[in-house]
Amino acid sequence: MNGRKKHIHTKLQQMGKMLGLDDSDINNAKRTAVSTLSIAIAAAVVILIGKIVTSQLDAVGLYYTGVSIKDFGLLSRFF
Amino acid sequence: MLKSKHIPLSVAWELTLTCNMKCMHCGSSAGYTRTHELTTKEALDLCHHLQELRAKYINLTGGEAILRKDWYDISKEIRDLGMEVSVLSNGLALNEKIISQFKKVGVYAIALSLDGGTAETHDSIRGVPGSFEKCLSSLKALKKENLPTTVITTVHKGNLKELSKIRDLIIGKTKAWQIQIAVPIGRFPMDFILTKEEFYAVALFIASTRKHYSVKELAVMGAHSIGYHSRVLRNTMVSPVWNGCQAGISVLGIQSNGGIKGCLSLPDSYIEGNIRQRSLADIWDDPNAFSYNRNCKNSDLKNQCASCRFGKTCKGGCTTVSASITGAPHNDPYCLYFIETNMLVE
Repeated sequence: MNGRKKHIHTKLQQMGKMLGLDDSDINNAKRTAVSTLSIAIAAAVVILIGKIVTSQLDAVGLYYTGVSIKDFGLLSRFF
Repeated sequence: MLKSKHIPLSVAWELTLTCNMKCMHCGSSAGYTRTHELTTKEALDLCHHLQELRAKYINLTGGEAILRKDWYDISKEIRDLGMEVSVLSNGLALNEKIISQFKKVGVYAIALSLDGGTAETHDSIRGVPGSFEKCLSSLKALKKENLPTTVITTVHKGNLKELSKIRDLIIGKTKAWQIQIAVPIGRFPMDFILTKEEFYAVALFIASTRKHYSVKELAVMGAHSIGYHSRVLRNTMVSPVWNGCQAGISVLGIQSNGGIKGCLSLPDSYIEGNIRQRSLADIWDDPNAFSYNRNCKNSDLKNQCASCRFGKTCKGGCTTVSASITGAPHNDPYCLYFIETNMLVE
């Protein structure tokens, strides 16, 4: 682990300690190349759907942002 | 007046301010009935106006929504008009009759508030002894009836350390868990607000929990106020992209007396009008309404957001958090990107 990564990890450990998070929790929380790629793909799909829906309904921001229960509602279809 | 290009897809409707709890963090200072709440006829008419605006998800909240005697009739009207209805409840007044009404009306989701991992914490935050046990038994009863539930936890200094306990309590008992931060609106005391480090720790907890549990086991999500462009953590929000606060864009808030805001959580200075004076469509389609979001320009961004590379799309995070803490929109200090810039990465 290089100096910068070590600094970040130590700081995360300090903050995680407040909630009783251990080293494995901290590692779980961090992004990885795979999770970054997954989120980029998911974001691209969501933006694409958003753009299609937006152009059809002439609404801005439709279907890809918003408050919790709406999010829950939309995504629960895929659970 | 020209129709707005925006659609209030998601509506938070405060049916009544009447409440059977006295939560320390309540942003509406709920308890007593608001003066001049909408009549049943006005509420049923409003359902039609929402449909005309192409609203899709109507979230009934309060106070405690189910304490309003006509909540079922309003819910049924919403469903009959083809919209989805969700109910936010503290669980205290839930009984067999209400649960069967939820089923009958076909509610989309029932959100229950759980703010502590122990009875001592939850009951003291909510001001009602026994409310913890009642909340858990309500959750169990809803699950037994196969009704979709989500648990909502509002985090502050008083319950920060109990997130793991809450998680252990609700695993297998709910479909989803939404975690949000308390902000100084209503009767929430400023000295209980999380520090930025504590806020970051909550995001850390959410990111870690999301990796640990599949969405089928427990779909954990940070609310719209926990996130934004982290370079270190996994996504903490439901949506993989943050496109800025949606108040007045795809989100609408309705107060029980007919007051209209972009988001129900916003302070009252953000009321755009009242449906008793102007129709809902008039307020929504007004080109000058909700201008803090609809007409947000880069020059509106303040403090750290003014120079942020994500500023244009982010628009300065959650308007409610920003306005309640700094007094102005577009500079939400509870931002993962900003905190990382100051404490972690550079």
